[in-house]
Amino acid sequence: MTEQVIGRFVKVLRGAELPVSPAETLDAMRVAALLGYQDRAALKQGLSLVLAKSDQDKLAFAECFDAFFRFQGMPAEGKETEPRLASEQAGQPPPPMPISTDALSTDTWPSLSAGQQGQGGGASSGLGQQLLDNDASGLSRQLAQAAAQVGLDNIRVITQKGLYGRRILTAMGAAALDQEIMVLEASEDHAQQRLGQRLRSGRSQLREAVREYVADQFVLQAREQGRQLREQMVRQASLRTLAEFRDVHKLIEKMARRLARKHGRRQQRAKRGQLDGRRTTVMALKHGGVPAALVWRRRRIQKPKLMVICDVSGSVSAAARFLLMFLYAVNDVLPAVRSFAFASRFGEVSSLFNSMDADQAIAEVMDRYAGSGTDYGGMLREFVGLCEQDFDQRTTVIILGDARNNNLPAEQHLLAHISDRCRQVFWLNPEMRSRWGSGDSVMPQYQPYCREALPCSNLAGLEYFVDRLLRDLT
Amino acid sequence: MKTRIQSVAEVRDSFARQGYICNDQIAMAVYLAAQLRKPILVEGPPGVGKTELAKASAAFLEAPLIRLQCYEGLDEGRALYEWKYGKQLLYTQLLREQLGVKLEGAEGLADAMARLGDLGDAFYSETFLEPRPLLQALRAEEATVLLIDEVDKADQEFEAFLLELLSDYQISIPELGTIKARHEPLVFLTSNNSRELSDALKRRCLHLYIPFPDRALEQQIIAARVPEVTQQLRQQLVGFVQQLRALDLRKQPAVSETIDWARALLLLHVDFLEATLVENTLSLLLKHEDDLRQVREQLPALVKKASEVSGKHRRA
Repeated sequence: MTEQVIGRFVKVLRGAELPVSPAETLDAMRVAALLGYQDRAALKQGLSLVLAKSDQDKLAFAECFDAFFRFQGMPAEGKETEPRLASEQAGQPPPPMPISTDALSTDTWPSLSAGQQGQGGGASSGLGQQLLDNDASGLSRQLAQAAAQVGLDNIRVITQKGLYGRRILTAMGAAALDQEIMVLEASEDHAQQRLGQRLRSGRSQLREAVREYVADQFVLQAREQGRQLREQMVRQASLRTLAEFRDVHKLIEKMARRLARKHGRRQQRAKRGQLDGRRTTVMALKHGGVPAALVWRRRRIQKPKLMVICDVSGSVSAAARFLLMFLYAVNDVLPAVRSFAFASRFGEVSSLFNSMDADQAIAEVMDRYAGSGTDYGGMLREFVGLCEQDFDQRTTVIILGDARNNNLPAEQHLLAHISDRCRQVFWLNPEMRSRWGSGDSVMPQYQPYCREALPCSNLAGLEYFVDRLLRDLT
Repeated sequence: MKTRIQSVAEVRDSFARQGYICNDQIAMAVYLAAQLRKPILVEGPPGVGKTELAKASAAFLEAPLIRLQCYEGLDEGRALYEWKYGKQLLYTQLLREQLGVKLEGAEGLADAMARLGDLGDAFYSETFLEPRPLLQALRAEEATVLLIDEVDKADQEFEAFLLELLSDYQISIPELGTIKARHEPLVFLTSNNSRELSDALKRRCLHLYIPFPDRALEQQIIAARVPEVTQQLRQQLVGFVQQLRALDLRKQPAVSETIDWARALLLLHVDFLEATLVENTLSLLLKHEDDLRQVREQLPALVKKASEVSGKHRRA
């Protein structure tokens, strides 16, 4: 029983993006077995020690714990529901039924199949009788059972909520109840009509309860899978359509954080270098010339300089937007980024990014520089004029654009010059490789001077590029 | 080491008797760690008593505390064991004649090697082994409390090296084989979060996050650590520090700094807070010039609020 509860709870935690490993699940079971379910606060503290392993995770854990153990999932809370039932009998409108999110309570009770039980009292259907009796615990048990029967665990997207709600009601025997209400309300007898009305209000409460239950389950179980599905889709979607999605920014930040963590770590690891022969010999003197302790040469970490030139004319501006977002999101690892934008004219935009957050800065850049009629040759000339004195062997230049030059001269010798003076030039092209060189594209003229020219049409491509770049630079 | 712990309350009460005031969460961590035989990773801002927790636990469990301070570049030689190179060299020099006698009349290299072989591993034996904290903890005659302090300062490799110790309480040394703990130590790791620790490490530990204490708990801590301070002053000074933590400072004052400040105020025979006094002693709380400047500007308001809050408390 403990295993089941903890297992389900861990599933919920994973849904809330807490990385819980099987080993930690086992620990959680040991903790639960040790502490028991009586003291809720103690259980929460104990489980939080083994299941949530950072302070952000602790917050998410607390939320999940409260949501998961809200109902009578824990034996200790069974007591709370009794006074609540008493108040219902005293004539107050019944509050929403307490519902078990735990399948475990169904195991401990004999299986009740809906519609076959309880002929006494007023209602003829079992469900109706339970509603009249305010048999909250029985109903919630049945609800959980019906949910298991229709496979509520398989719910994936929010639009399925209505469908699953109806299926659960059907499984609980709502059809018989509907029939009964219809018959009762159509009858001449006042007592029968009143009974019918009571059943009707009971039914709407039941529907409400089912809706809530499904919503809770959806939040607990399905949110994560739905999100993953969406994320996968967003990664693959073309950058041009991406602006329409809501939380792309968040996703990019998440991807960037992952990359920053990965490469930030390696930066530390790269500190050990070769043997420092001179200092080893000096240190060996005190051992009579025996090199007992070795001294390692520390490699100096070179801070890379990055210059990004983005074409922000209509067709490629989306790609520029996301590349800039990415590069400024990893600025823990890449502190020195200078960015330039061009369409009909060219200019440096780094200062915008330093003074406001990335989103605003990008909007501002688009406002100021967007236009048409790109001239790559002119852009290269201006870039060399502006930055030539800053070129050195630590500088990486990234150019993002479709290289569609409106039939103007390509002036590839300028790119050759840049490539000579700098460490490397990368070219990102939002168009597919097969279209490079078609029409007014001058990509083939530029390609020989780029260390690498990559197509990037979606977030996955961008992520791949930034990953590769960071590996190279750090 | 004490092996039977009855309850979480027992841990908390024992800590309280030693002057380490904590909430249930912390006591629960120590209780579970002792029951499940798992290490605890303690994270939190500097100065909230992470290291103190290990000391208090050692006193509570009546076990010796072995401490390993981590730093950048710490390697297994410094953490686990080392050969006493100097002693080895000295011995080879001193024993040179002995060796000469032994090798006298040896015919050929093979014979000399065989004679040397009789020496066994004389130079790589216990005599020349220098146990460092981790090995000390594993070979101790009784179970110990092992404190690995500021594990985030050590390199990534060292963290990986700890994994075997943390999950199985054993360590593999090439020359000596696998050393298993005679008595499993209770391990505390502390981290200031200067870098993210690996998931593998976190997975093996209970994770305890100690935040700054709230007003009531901090007052209890001051009452336990500096009992001579009057109740009124205690309320005022804790109220003041709590307000400082709400400001946007480069370094927020920690509990240890509150304690220092309380001691200083006691030394100055202060009964209640006033602006000039606070200004003169502010450097005990704030360790950055920018922070000092920022707080000085709004000092009168802060002091006034601290006094008001404590007054309200008293009336209530």
